[in-house]
Amino acid sequence: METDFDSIYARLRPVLEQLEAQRRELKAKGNRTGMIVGGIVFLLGLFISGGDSTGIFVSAIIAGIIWYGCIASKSAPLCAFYKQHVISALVSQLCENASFQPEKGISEQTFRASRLFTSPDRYHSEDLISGKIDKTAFCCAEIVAEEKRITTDSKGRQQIRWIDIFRGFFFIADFQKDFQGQTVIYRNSWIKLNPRRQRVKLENPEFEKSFDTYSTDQVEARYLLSPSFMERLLELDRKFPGKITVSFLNSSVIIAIPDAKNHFETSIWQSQLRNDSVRREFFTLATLFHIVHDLNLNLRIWSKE
Amino acid sequence: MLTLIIFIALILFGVATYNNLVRKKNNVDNAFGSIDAMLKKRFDLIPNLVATVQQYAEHEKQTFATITDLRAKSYSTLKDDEKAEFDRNFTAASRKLFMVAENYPQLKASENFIQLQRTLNETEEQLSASRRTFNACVTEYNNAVMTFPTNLLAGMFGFTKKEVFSIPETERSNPQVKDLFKS
Repeated sequence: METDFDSIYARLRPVLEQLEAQRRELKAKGNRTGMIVGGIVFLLGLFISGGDSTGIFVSAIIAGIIWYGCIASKSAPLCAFYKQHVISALVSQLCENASFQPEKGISEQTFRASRLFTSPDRYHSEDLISGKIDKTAFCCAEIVAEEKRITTDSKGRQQIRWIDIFRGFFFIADFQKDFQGQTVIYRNSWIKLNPRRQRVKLENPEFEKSFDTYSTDQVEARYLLSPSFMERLLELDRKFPGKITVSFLNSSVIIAIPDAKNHFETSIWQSQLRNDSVRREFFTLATLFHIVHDLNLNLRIWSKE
Repeated sequence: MLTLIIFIALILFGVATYNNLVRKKNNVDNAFGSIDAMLKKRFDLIPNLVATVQQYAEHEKQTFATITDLRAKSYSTLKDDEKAEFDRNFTAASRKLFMVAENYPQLKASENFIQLQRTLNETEEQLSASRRTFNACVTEYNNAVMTFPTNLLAGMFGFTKKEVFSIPETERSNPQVKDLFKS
């Protein structure tokens, strides 16, 4: 497993140059189309408005939007190339046994089964990375889960708004101990009520300050959350700027890592040779893969191998 | 009227407090039951443990003499103090086993021994989880028994403070290899 970014970047340089050439070509194509379509729209606007200043202004704005849209519409093939050649290469350099499938994600069923969040009305997951680090199988993907809110104003007009339930990564890894029930670790909250599960009060005051644990089985929850594992979870929590939550389900540990950024995408407006996004994606991936070591999931001294 | 409202409120408070104390006491008993179940699971590992050691380390029979004697009995017939003694002996003996295994490469490498080690690790961790659960239940129960105003009702109905599990002094300190090999 290669973890030195500079050497990986040096190896990726030809691919990034290829990406840059493609970006310029696509941008030029979009620019040409935008100029033609935008120009026609501008002239039509001038003709319809009869040449007054407001008409010229509105036509120019519409033409500008069309020009921008024509260039932005060329982003899709560029993103596909970036994911297929750059992100895949980063993934395989960081973990030999991992594969990157941009079009796949974590199922909504798994998201709901984790019981970490309320049921979404709209769900999307992409950029699935799956593989094995030593003895631990894992997968992770980006998830956007939203809730529909309908508001009605005083005139009875309805407005639909989409509110984020969760936006970020789900990291799912095979857990080293066998268990039957479900244990869920939420953020600490004033309201400590969960009709389906019992609250598990743990001995670590710092852990209790950060999290609320609920489980279908008190003993099993403590079996999973040994004193050292609680410390490791706290350490992991400090590592991410977002507040992590954890669920133990079907012999796996599910870690929800909130992140507002849409990862593994490239922009047609910026060159990847100059900006720092490849470096940032490299460290994002390295941090995600390192969760297996952070939680010591390769320690297999119990019955489950 | 006010007196009647206060009286009803007091009755309701009394019933709720009493039920709460009973629930907490039952939780303690239930948690103790899970420790017992784990001890039984550990007890059932003895034949496998003894067979594995005998196969590769003939001279170490003595190490397990005490717990082998105990295994002759059925777990359900053991008295509480015998269970506690078994717990202590087993912990000491299993530690010795893993230290002794260092001198017997064949034992250490055997599939049986590796599997046994995994099962023992699991049982120990489950036992530890059961004890932690018991302690959490006892702490919650004791808090209810000792704090005002539930302590008034606890005193009236004979709910007394319970002891939490503590690790014996011998287990707290790191075992000295030379001490372990005295027997």
